[in-house]
Amino acid sequence: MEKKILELTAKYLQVGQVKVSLDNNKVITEIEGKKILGFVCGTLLMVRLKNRRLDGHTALEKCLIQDWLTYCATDLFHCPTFETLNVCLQYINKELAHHSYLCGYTLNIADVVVFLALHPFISNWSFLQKEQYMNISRWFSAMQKDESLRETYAPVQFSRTLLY
Amino acid sequence: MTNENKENSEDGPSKKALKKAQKAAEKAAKKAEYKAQNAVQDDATQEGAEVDCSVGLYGNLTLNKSQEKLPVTHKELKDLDESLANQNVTIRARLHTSRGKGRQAFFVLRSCEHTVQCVIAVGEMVSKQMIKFVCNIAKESIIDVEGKVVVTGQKIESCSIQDIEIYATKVFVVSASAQRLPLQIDDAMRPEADDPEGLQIKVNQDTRLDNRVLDLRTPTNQAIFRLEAGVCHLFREALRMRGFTEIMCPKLISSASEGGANVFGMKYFEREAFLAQSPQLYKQMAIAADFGKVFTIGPVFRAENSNTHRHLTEFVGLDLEMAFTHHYHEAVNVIGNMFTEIFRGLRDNYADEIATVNHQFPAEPFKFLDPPLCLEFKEGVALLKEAGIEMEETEDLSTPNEKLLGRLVKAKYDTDFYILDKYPLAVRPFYTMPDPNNPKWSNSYDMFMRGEEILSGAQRIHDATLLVERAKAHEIPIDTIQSYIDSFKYGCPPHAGGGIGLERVTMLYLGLDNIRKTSMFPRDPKRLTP
Repeated sequence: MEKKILELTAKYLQVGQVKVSLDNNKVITEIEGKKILGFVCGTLLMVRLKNRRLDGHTALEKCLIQDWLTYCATDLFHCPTFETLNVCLQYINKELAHHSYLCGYTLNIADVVVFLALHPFISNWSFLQKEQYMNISRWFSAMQKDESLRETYAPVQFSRTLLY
Repeated sequence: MTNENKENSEDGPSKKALKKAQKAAEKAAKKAEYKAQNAVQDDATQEGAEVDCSVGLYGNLTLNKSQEKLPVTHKELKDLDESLANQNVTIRARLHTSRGKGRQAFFVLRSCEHTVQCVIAVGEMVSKQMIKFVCNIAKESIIDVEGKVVVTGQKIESCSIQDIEIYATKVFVVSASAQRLPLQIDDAMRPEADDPEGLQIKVNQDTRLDNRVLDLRTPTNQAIFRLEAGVCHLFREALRMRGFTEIMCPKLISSASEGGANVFGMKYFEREAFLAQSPQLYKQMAIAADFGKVFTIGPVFRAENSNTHRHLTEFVGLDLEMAFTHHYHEAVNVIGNMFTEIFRGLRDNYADEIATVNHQFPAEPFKFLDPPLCLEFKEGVALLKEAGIEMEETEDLSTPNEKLLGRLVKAKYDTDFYILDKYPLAVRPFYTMPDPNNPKWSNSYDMFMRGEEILSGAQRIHDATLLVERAKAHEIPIDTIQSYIDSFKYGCPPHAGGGIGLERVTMLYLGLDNIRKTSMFPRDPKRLTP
């Protein structure tokens, strides 16, 4: 899962030659000669090379980004069943209740990573599920408007009126 | 040590054995003494039995074989209120619960949806034996209680009649129940999420249906079936007032009316006969016989092996058919207005029953518009497309799409009831009249309640030649429907109509989840009794 998300993130950031490989369940990112071990470090390396804006402006934001990326690497990517995935989704839903984006009020790399991870699930949700995770739906709908994401991913429909 | 013991056992009982024997003797002596004392006490109570002051005021009545003609002075539970304070009343009801402690007993009487608390305490006219008798009466027995109506200071929360209670002076058992009941009425009427800390015992649907006689006694079921009777009554009244005649159609027919798939067959003397799937043919024959506007209420038999929450093999069909002058919308408006009258009548006259059902099965109140909302099939498909559902314009609506469309219509127009007009011709039966301008569409309509279909209707083909043509297009052999085609050979007015299922309408109006809750003795592929 980490490998796939790293590759998708690389495509999003338009990083040139990136090689991602797995070694004993640890993911190694190789970019411009440098080899970095681990998902969080690999992502942050790519971001700092290509698009510093997505790395967060304040120290607090940078901390939160690292926190979310770690959460992805430890919990979100390793959900064995739908029940555990639902637990993660409820956590994310609660966190999004008071923020526009995961780390505050601006888009950053943590949002992109979580978007890429959840897209295949959310595109298959029924309207009932979208209404149950109201905050995730709102956040997802905002994320879809980003230009580079809009180009690569088919938009998911959300209903603006409450159906259930 | 062991040697000593061996020696002792050879010589006779050892010290230990002696001690044991002594203790046993002491115990026996104590027991005998206790028994003697109790015997004395029993004698005392025997003496008490002779002094029972309530003899003749309680007991089991002899089996009622209509021995005497007496004037009926019993009052109904629903008529008890504060205006009868301090008067003596006699009531006949079921014993719902009872609990007693020596000199006092409280018991609750139940009749239909109402419960009232009764108190009986030892006094001048009431003896201890009477209290004991009352506490031993089995639950669900039918009893006659005479007593004084007393206004209580505090409201009795656990009963439906909360301001008064009865101080009983006479209690007679009219019909006793067996002690062990297959299900407890208290459990069967407990609301779903009453108190998370309290009892969560519910009764399984299968248990309920196996012991339907007991299950139907709960106040909720009493309310559901009285409301169902109301639906039937309002249907009749709405149509009678518009000049419809009620007709009775046969259920034993010689050939399957709507396609041979889902029909019950049986031996009819030397031939084969079927149970009618719908009174379609006979409604139309009545129109061709100049009855103008007809309706019929009767059982419908569908041999579908569907075990879902909304299918039964036998249900009550309310069908209507009417001849119109220019356009089939005349019939659609009549049906729509009839539904509006039914919904309004239920909302206004059966509010208590709806509240009782909602107490155990909470649901949103039913919303409807006057005049009813009528959308075209094309508009419905467009609404679904906006919501991201891809479907062909002439494709039939699948059940999930129907439900989603119901949600979208509710969100947009705020109504639980709507009509979908001009269905595609390809998905309708062969006797549906095609649209005059575009052969892709037909003059047919469906009506929905809470997103589920309750009525399917159309303008019928009243011309024999066109009927044969359409039957051929649907590849139906003409000889099986020859008698049907013959009915239109001698002139028939243009007509349209539709049919609804009584149980389904009641279920969707109350927002219940299973059609077996609204069928008194339901029939499905797995159930044939009671």
